[in-house]
Amino acid sequence: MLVLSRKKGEALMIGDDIELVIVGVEGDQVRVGIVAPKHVEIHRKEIYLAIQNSNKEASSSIIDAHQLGNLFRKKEE
Amino acid sequence: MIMETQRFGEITVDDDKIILFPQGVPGFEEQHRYIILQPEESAPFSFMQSIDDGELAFIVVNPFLFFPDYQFDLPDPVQQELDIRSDADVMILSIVSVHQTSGDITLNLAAPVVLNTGRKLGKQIILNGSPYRTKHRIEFDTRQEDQSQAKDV
Repeated sequence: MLVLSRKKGEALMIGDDIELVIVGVEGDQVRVGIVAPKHVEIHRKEIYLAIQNSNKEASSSIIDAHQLGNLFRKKEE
Repeated sequence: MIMETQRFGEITVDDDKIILFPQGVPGFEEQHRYIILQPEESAPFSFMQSIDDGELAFIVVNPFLFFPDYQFDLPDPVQQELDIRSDADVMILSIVSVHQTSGDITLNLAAPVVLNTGRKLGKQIILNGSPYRTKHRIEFDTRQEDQSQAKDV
């Protein structure tokens, strides 16, 4: 991981298209501004990880089509 | 084409039913091609089966069946990416989790799957700043009478 120090108001260029600006620092919270092309998605990491984990969990959900339908229709097995 | 799947055994895939997810989905970024299988016995639930990996499939469902007030904006970049020109092009699905120990069935409303059914393109989008979470439990016994009984986990 590349680690750089920046002060409030300073910025970083990532590639040609992405700019990261330190908008402000208040206590231990840093406000970061990002200028990037619309197709580049930006997410808080913990959110992205939560979606990844949810998908992994979902992909290993074990129930067969028949059981699923019966649950919905509330039939006795 | 014919392929072997873990859940459905050998299946025949119509090429024109294959949906392309240019970025895969989070956690499965390398798998780009899926088809929607709708076994009659599981309705209204369908399966989003990976063409690239026979062991990979997701249970999906129309979230509005259980959460009729569910709503979110479809960002412009997503509309462009999926070449969406009108509402009629769009199908929304939620990925379903079945929890072994609790028996709970939950929908991920925080990250809906958006499909352009005409162009056969898809993407799972992450809603920023929405009130929704990855696990919204669905209750079958109140599904028709009172949707507001659907619980949040």
